[in-house]
Amino acid sequence: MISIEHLSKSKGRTRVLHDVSFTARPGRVTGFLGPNGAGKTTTLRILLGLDRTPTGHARIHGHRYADLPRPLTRVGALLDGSGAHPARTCRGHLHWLALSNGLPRARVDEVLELTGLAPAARTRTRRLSLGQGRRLGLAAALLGDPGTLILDEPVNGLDPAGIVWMRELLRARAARGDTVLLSSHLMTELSATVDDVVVIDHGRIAAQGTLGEVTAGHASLEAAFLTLTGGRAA
Amino acid sequence: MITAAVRAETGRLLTLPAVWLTAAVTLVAAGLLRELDHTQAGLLVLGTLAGTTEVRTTLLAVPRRGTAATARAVAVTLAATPVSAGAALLADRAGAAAYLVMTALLATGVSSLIRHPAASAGLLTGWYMIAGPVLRALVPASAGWLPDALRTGPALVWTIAVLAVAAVVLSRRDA
Repeated sequence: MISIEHLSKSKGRTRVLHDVSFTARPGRVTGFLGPNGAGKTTTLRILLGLDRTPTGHARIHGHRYADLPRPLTRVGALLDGSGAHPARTCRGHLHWLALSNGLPRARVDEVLELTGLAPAARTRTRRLSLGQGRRLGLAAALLGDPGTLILDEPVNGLDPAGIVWMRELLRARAARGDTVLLSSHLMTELSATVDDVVVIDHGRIAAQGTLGEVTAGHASLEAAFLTLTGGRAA
Repeated sequence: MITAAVRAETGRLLTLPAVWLTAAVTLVAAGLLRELDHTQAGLLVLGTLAGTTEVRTTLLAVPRRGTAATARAVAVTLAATPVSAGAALLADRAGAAAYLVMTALLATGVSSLIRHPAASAGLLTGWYMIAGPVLRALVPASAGWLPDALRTGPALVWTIAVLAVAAVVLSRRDA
């Protein structure tokens, strides 16, 4: 369970989040949707303890991320890029991360296999394609086999087969009771993946509910999104 | 948790190819130049590598900023000690080894505040190679107080001050 309560934040003189509240429930994939610059990444960065919160709370199973003793075993996070140094190999990147949370070395090869990166285990991350970089980021997120996934634009850069693979993986995690929260500005890819939808626009929550509730009265999730966000193209 | 964080941070540093390259160049420079005034730039680069790489990934793995910063300082000390000892011996200034380790730690603190590797390395080498010597020439009385003077006492005070400022700023600002 992820709960965001009354989150407000300014960057410089600009208010980037206005009283943002929503929840992402276990056993469900929650899509956090909004145009570029709507506040999705900032919200996720606050949830992960990277950005500070002047007002409000962001908790994972009742705890702040920073208070989780071995966070990788509880929460898997994917932000933009792979998060790896360009001169590292995929395996080297995952290995030091595993050390940091006391995870068995065997997990490194397991997640490389799981994300289809086993053949690229010894490849330096600067040589990875965009899609492979996302897979490495996801491998890092899955390293501690966490019950919560927080993913910023996970399908960005994936080819169609990769998008289907990501969808099946996230559905399988939700099916075993995990909480999955992913942000996106790509509607068509998302409507087949998510159970619940939270729409954010200009730092305010514009709608939230199940996919059926949010799209009711609209031709598609895309149409609902465009209406809710004032017709601005994503 | 701090033990795992230190092990991971040390492993992280020692598996960055640039760290080994910097160590090798520093030792070669110490052997050829037989002085530390310029050789110490290697420790500035070493500290900068630790302070500016994989910062976000580190904080996701070790979200307590105090723990992450402490682990990083310990890892830099461990990585910088053999390089510093080697460079100091090669330059016939064995007593300066501790000074060089502190130089690396000071660079870690400064670069973690600046965040950008090239900007940090540029500022630090400019400070140590140009601003410091110029200031000493203009105001000879300042010589004993500057951090770059190859003197352990002033370097210790500067390093502690910089790491303290970095700890406070990093605990408060967006990563």
